[in-house]
Amino acid sequence: MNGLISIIVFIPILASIIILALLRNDKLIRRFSFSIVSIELILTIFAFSLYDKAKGGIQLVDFIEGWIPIKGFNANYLVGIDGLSAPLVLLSGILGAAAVWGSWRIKNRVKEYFALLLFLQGVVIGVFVSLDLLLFFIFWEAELIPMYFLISIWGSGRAHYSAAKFVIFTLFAGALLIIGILAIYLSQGINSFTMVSIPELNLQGIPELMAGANLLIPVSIIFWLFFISFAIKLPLWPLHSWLPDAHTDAPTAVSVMLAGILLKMGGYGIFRISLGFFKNSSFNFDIAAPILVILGAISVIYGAILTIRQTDLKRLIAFSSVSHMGYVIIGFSSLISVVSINDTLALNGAALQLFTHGTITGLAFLLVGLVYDRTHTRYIPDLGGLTSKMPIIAVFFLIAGFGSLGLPGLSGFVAELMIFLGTFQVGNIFAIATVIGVFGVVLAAGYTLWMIQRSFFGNKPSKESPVSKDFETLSDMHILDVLPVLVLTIPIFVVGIYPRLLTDIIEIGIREMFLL
Amino acid sequence: MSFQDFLIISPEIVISFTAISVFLLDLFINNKKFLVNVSIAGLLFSFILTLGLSNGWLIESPGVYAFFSSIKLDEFSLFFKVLIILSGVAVIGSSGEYISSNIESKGEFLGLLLLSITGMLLLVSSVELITVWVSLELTAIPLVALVALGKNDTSLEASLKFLILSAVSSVVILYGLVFLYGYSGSTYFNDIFSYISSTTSSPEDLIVLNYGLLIGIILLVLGISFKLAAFPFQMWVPDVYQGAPTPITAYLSVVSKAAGFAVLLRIIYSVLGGNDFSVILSNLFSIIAVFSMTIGNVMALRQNDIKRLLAYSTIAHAGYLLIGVASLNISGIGENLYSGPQGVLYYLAGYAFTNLTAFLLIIGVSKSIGTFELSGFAGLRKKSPLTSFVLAVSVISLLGIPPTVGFMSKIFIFSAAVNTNLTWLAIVGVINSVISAYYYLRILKIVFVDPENNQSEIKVSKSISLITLIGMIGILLLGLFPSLILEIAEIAVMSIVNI
Amino acid sequence: MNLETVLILSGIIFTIGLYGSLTKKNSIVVVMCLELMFNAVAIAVIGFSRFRPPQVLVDSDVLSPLNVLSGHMMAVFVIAIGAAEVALALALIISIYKIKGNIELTGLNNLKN
Repeated sequence: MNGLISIIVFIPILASIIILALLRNDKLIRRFSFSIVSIELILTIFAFSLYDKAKGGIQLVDFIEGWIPIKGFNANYLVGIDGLSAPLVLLSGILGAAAVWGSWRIKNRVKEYFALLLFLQGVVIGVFVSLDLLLFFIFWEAELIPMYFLISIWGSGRAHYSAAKFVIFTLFAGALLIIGILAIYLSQGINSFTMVSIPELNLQGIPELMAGANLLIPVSIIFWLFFISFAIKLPLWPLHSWLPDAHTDAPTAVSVMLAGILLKMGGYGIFRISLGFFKNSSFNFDIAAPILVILGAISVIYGAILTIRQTDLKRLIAFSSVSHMGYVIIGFSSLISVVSINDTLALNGAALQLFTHGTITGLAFLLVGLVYDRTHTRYIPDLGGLTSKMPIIAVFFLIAGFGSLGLPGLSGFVAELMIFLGTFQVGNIFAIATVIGVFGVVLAAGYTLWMIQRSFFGNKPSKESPVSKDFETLSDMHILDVLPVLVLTIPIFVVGIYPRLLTDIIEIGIREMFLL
Repeated sequence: MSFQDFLIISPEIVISFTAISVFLLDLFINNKKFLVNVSIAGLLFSFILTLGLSNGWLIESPGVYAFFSSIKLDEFSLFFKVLIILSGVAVIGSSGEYISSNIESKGEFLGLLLLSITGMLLLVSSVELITVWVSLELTAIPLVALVALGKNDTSLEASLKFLILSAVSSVVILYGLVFLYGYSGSTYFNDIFSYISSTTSSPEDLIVLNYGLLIGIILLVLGISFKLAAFPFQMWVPDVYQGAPTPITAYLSVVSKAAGFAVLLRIIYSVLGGNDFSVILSNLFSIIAVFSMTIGNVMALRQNDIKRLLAYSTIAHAGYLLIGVASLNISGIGENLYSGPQGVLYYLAGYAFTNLTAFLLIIGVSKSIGTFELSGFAGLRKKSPLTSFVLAVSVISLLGIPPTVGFMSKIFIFSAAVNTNLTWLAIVGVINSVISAYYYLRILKIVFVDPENNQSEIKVSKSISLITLIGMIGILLLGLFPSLILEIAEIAVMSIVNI
Repeated sequence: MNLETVLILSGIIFTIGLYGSLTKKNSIVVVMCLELMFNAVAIAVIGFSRFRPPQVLVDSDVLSPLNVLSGHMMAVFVIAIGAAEVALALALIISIYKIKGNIELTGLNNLKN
């Protein structure tokens, strides 16, 4: 019990209550939130660096036994990080900071905005660090309310429609999830919500218990309940339709959070539960894995093709997320061939992809927000030649674009390469899917470069475009925007150049999941 | 009849005396505020007596019979007594302003409400068929008059509808009780239970020999669905909720429902106990639950009147609660033997906090904006941030999102269902709560997102603000620490089970 | 005469009452149907009491002398409370008549389905 992880989870939540209840002055609220996320960023970096790779396992555990101690429903308060969640906690710290720092322009209902944003950050970190299924589910659902308000109040376009769609899709995911959780918990031989074994505390986790359990409903139904739930959140084709709407209509900072960490909840769940729980159970991945890899490949190609056709900058990036999340599933499906520690390459890559996509797409959304603030349109044909007016934004946009298409030296390349190498080795349909996936990268290069070419290079906007009128007055990045942009750019380079910073720790996490 | 008998029903005696004194004082006293205070004082006094009964100050320990064994004071009845009295305090305490402006016969309003509460208190502790039915009528007849007390003629119409359906349902219940009596030869729960257990050897026998009892039980369940606001007697709910004075709507949606579930659970677990009727009953409840949830949620989607919307939501919640009732696990696997009824008790407590908060706020707000139309609530956030925050918490709790009590209640109910091999029912339940998101979100959208469309100032009276704030704290506290209620609920459930 | 005959009679009257109370438009007729249902129940309970006298019960500590007469007592309660319901209904119908000038149950159409 050292409290660090609990502090990381509850500082933003407490801060949001303080903002709602006590603070009145907008300026004060802004400064307060900025400092809270800065502290949060430092704390998450600190927690990440405290993780002892030599020791492995779950670390920085906070445990309060018997949070709900009634008979037959024994839930504990149990949080901690392992190799899988540590990078995601770090990611949440980074993106939370970028989102709040990047929101200094918000003038409308400042108090509620920052309170909700901080609350959101707190509960999402809660999802990543909870090691008790009920606690995990509580954080999972608690994220809905701030997201609903953030999108529908500060959003644009059909904000309420998109927000409601987001909530209903996520609630549906939650509905499947809770049935799965209860089915596992109530099975004979399990009766535990603990998600991982922690020998120090004498806790046996579900992964260990699954093998000998007498499940209430067939194991394959439980697997698909969980998987569909996470696939909605990820999102995977054909369950992705909420994502473009929510992204397009959300305010910038919320898009950053949504793409950066909320989608990762799905990815994290797939690793922690679909892999961790079911790899040791009687569930047969021989049938499931090919289905997964096909869905992943379809996601990649379908997402990429739709991306090419988009004319709205934000929508374009949103669809590219669908495509990029498909790689995670392709990489994940390689679990079928894992027999020793050397076979986890693609899985490591998929987990790394969660991190890299978070930073890259977060950066892209932030920059689109900056462009939109100046031009007041995201319609690509109306833009053009922006480089001459906003060169710094253009440079960062190029970085985000190259990261997204997988340029060597940037983080996206490492993750995708690991996924392709690992999955290709499995052979058969997996190899074919990998080839399709590689083709997706080609498409990604196409749409990214084409988008940048149309909006930032080329001719000035034509006469009909609303931008042309005050094109001359467009300004470059404000000094206050440098900080959020940099905090997202630095990890892209660092991970691109020195991926072992993350892969070492992720490898530990994945390895422990297989109990190898 | 000994002195202890009277001690056991002292809370009821105090409240009925309060009711009579309110009727009398009404004739002499012009300050009607005083009547409200008298009623609350009476309720609080009976609350203290109830606590005394549960703590062993007045009698040695719960679990004793009174009046020729027709009334039993056990932990189960104490749980519901506390719930009912406190809800009564909340309803009467916050309706002072409403009464003075909207009700002509103020003394009658309070007196009848107190009499109905007396009926509920007797109902939850009676263990004999005649007593059950008489207390049931004691709750229902004052309510009919109360619904009629609103100033407009819609409330008269609503009241006549209410009366007819209430009478039909109570005759159906009565017919069920008569069959129970006729085929077992006794009106006492314990005797009926002994009769059933003594005549049975195999499940087939049980049903063949006792088809009369089975008819009785089914009639009883159908009739009680009126009290629960569940299918098939749910059609009165929207009209009556809309027409009745709002405090009465709040009372109906919380207290009446709670008392109905109390009777239902007591009959299932005390009369039928560990018999194989439970399989048939479980199917019956599952069907009622599915229809109630679906009808409630689907009909609520298109409502524009907030009272009507909440009326349909009440039907849906009755459905969720019935999932807990359907999760009969009498033979039992492992430790969580009675997680179904335990979940129902927790749900009812949480629902009391949630729904009372929502309805009382609506009383306060609609008085200022002068309408129950949803669109009238637009821009409420700007006019009264605290009110809209509390309203949001209660709506979120109705929807079932953490960290509120509504979330935990649903978890326990669904967990009980999965535990008794009713996974399909749990799935129907969760899908229904997804549907319900649509209309609850609409309330949130109108309050928080839409621009205001009228200039009326929102003035919520101090008593309503205080009570709803307490309600909000209750919603959050029970949501974060459910064991506060669950442990009591477990003891309560164990006290009614006959095996 | 035996128990079955009484129960069949009671069942027929009850059904007539139930049908009428849910479909009739005139509220006086509806009240009459309610009364029919109450009386059907009273017939049934008297029949049970006459033809199935109380059994020798296992659980003797809650058995009271009243047990023997409980069927008859129940009938008395049914009659009394039925009267109370009807009185209230008539009061309501009178006040509705004062306001609207008729006693048709127009709003109850939806119950027909």
